Amino acid sequence: MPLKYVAFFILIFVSITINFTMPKRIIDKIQMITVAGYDYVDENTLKGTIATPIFLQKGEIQDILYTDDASMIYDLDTKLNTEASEDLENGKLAVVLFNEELAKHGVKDYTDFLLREPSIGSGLYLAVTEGSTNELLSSIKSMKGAGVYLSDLIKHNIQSQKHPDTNLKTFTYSLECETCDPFLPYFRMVDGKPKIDAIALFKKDTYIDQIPIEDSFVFNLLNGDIENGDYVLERKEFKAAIQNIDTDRKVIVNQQNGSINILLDIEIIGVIREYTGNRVLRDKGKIKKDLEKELHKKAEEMIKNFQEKNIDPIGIKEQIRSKIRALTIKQINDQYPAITINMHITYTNLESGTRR
Amino acid sequence: MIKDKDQVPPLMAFFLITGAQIGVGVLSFTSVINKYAGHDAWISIIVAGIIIHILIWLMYKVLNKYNGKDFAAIHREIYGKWIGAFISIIISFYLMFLAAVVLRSYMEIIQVWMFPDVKLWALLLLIMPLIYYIISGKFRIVVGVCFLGVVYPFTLMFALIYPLKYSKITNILPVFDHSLMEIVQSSALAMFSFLGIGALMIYCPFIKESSKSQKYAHFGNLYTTSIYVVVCFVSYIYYSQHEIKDIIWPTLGLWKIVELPFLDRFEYIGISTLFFVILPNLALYTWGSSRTLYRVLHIKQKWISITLLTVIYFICIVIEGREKILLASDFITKIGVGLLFYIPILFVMHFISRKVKRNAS
Repeated sequence: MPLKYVAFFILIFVSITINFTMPKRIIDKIQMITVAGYDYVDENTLKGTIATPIFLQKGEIQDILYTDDASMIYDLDTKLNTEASEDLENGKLAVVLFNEELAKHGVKDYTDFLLREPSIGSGLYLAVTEGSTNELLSSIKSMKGAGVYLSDLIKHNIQSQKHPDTNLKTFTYSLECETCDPFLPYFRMVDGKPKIDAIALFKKDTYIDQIPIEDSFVFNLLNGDIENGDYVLERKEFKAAIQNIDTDRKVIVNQQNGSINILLDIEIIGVIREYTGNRVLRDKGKIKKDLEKELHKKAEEMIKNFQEKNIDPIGIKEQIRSKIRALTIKQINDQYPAITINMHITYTNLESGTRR
Repeated sequence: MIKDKDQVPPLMAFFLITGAQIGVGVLSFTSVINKYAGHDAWISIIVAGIIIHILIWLMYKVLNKYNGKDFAAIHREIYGKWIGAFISIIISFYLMFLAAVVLRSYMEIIQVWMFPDVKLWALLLLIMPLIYYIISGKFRIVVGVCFLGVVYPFTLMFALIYPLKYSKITNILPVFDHSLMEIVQSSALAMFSFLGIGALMIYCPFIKESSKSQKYAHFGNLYTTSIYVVVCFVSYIYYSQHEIKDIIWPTLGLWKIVELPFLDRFEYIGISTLFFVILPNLALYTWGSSRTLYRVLHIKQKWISITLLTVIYFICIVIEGREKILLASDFITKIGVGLLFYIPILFVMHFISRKVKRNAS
């Protein structure tokens, strides 16, 4: 029946022509924001800096920085658009930085738009910087562009277990979860280059403390399973570099007479790659004992610090909630600072390289 | 009587049931059903699935008694001409409105996630001819669409592997932390996701040896239940309960973490593929609606279909914004669950009417 197809044709034609006038986003006519940094000015104002790459020629990128003061992120976007030569788009945003000052005042208001905007992925990295984010962003001179540079920097540190796994998803998870607290990488400028210097600890959405990056191994140990980590054991008599470390964390929750006992049973398996003492085989027992003792001491201090500050970045409270039915979340939160947390760390050496 | 070549094999009942059940709700049901049972709500889905199994069994009991007859004919036989026609018309209006709400909800996702500037009325003009094309042909075409609507979107299940990396099993522990009552309350909410099985009573005469298709209908429902349980399980270990209650489309949120070297935003593929999920819904509901009206009113089905699609078109345009869409879908799902309970009533009624008729003769 031709009439039917004529009607079809008219409807489809109308539909396509009408929607053809929809605003288009052509790659040459937009600027992709790859990294955004927010600094604290006063209670109602923040200073935002964004970097968008401009492609000069094959493999060469130059970053253009825009910066302005605003009260909200979208307010900032509107203001920055008046500076930019093309439309600014959020779709490629890879890293968002907050300066320490802003983080101390709480970041929740500034992560909301990241979750609400559909074009932003959950794999985005958040980080805290010591000084102004503007300074940090303008210091990066890389052919990759600031966004890719910083996201690669964080990504490879996560992959090599220098920093515990973090992204927008894990951050908002810990933020929204009633029992846990988030953490983020902490950047400091060293010789004019950004460096992940610590793990920034948050109490809900406010930054309160940090762990130096040297102790991140211990933090990872408590936080969950490590795959392919490394650690250097330094003693007066010898030094040992332990590589290919796999760990297995078990949390055993006990409740006796109303008080909660927690045992962190951590098993470490590793390979000694460098050893300054005599023979690994002979000193095996001593290395094992020293390592266990050192890690135990550091871990205990770390947990004590968490309990004093009443924060739980390693998810102990979540373990309690999932194992003891009778307790409400409020009870767990109240009891947490006084809970006894014991540790049992065992190390097993598998190999010692090609030498005895 | 329906011609032999218009009928479909009994196996197709699987695709008809699943195609009608899984719809746009699969994106959002996880943050709705946890209202009472919290992280145990995935058990509620199993409970709801079992209840639907019973309803399907009841439907086949009735259908087998009235061999080869559909809703309209059965209603006429049980209630008489006028009341029977009235109930049939209510059901067909319900199906029409359901199709409109499904379409509008999908359009909302396109507006929010993909094209905020899209002209809705123009986009709908593109979809309406497609639905008309499907339902104006033979029933076999509708079945074909249902088949594709089950097979294509299955590939999306593989995308659920990515969120597992950031999942914590502690989120759904301890299991059975909520009372049985709360789980049952949540399963009432979970029933919303299983709507559309009633259409079985309309297309049943189109299935060859329909009594043999019962097995496949149950398999279809089992498939739907397991898809829902898997989606729900992954969502609940990925999100904490506190987090998920603020999210409108948690399943789309799961895809936000997917990283592919050649594609930044997996949602775009997901949402496009989901069109194959809602197409069987639309086709089957509008077809069922027009078929029932045709059986009652005896007007040419072509004109009924065109009228129905025009009405759906205008309903979709009138419902504007999140709140109205929520209101409309709440309204329609409440009626839908009400109509699910109509199935046992129909079962009882057919017994009574048989008794009465036997006594009369």
